[in-house]
Amino acid sequence: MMDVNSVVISSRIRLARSLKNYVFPSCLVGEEGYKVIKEVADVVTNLDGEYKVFTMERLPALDAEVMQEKHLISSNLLNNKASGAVILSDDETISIMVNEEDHIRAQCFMKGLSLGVAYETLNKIDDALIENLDIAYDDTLGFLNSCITNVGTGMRASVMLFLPALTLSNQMNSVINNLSNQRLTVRGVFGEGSEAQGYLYQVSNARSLGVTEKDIINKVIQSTLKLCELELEARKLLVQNNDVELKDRVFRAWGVLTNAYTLSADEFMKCAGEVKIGIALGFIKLKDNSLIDKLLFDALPSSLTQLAGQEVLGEKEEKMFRAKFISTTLKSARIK
Amino acid sequence: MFYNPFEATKNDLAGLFNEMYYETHAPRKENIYCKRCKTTLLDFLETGFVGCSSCYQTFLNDAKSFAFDVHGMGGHVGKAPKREATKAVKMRELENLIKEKEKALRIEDYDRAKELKRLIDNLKEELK
Repeated sequence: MMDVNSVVISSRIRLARSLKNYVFPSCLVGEEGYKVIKEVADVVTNLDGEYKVFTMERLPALDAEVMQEKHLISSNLLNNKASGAVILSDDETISIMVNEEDHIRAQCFMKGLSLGVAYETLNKIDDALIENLDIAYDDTLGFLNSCITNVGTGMRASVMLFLPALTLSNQMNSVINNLSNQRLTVRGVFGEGSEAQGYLYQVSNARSLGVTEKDIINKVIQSTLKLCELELEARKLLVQNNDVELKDRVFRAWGVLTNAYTLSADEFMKCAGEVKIGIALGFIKLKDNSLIDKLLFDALPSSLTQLAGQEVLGEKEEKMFRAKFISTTLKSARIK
Repeated sequence: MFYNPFEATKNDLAGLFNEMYYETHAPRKENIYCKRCKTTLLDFLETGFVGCSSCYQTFLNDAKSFAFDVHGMGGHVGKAPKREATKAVKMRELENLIKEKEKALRIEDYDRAKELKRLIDNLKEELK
């Protein structure tokens, strides 16, 4: 059976909804922004489960930056101090941004290839929002949102993929072209295009009108499975043809991550990508193989500052703390 | 599909006539704006962004063409709010009843046509 989990890191469903009674966030003035937050929060906090509401105005800057690094909020929301808010579930699998580009941007995150489950989960919240709020809708254009690219279902289904072998064998440009012909968008999770750091890419649907939610999910899943097949095939070839170079690459990176005295976020990302190849190919064994994925986010500047229990870390201190944190975590997680 | 050159020419001429009529009679794009949020049609066509849901009513035809350019042909087929879904079902039912009434009149079944008219009136009242 195909090892999908060594390629697909996580799945995300996002639904955009707008309220009929208010102008869209870019035009909101005065108290209207607060009214939108209140209307949405009243619905969500009455649902089963624990949700917390954070307004951008009151959220401490570091907490907001950590949320952004974890992709729970966007930079657009982070900068909307006047009327932005986020409603988070306790386990942080649900994030509902209020007054981002649209009044409501609800997202559900799941590990692995779980778009169907993520949609089912988010759809229940969406039903409650639609039932209780006056949501803008048109028979032909579907759910009406700020940008024409988000009308119809208002849905983005995306997967985060680890594609080192396709990148190293220079196949990413043709993969990206092929997917864009199928109205799918590919971008680097950290960085753009084929130069994505850590070999991490995000694939999502571009089309949201004229297709059902099920069509979108099926299309992204089918393309993801095809990409998994191509990536695993390319990994086999890499091992067959470049076993020594590949191992050298992986263990050099491991050496840096477990021995460096200072480590920048960029260098960490680059080395983590190489070590992840080693984990996927069984050269390195960790107690929990998903640990490296968690570290990718924990080692980002703001998350790291929070982990260090500081308000601010100087550049040098940040690099030193990162090196120590990564080295200790990886060494204790390795199974020899 | 069979290609009929005469039909195509007729359509081209109709298109040309529509275009000429639009240019001389319809308001110029520069002058069309949303009364609620003041977004202009030109802003929308340049950026793809509107300022409120009423913009879509104001720019309806342009918004539909723009949306089909971006997403490909075909209107919304995904999830609909329950009240909208009910409305859409009733609209379709109304269309069918009207067609049925026309058919009843054609075959001179006046009793059936009278019954259908009553159903149509009731449904129109519900849809108000």
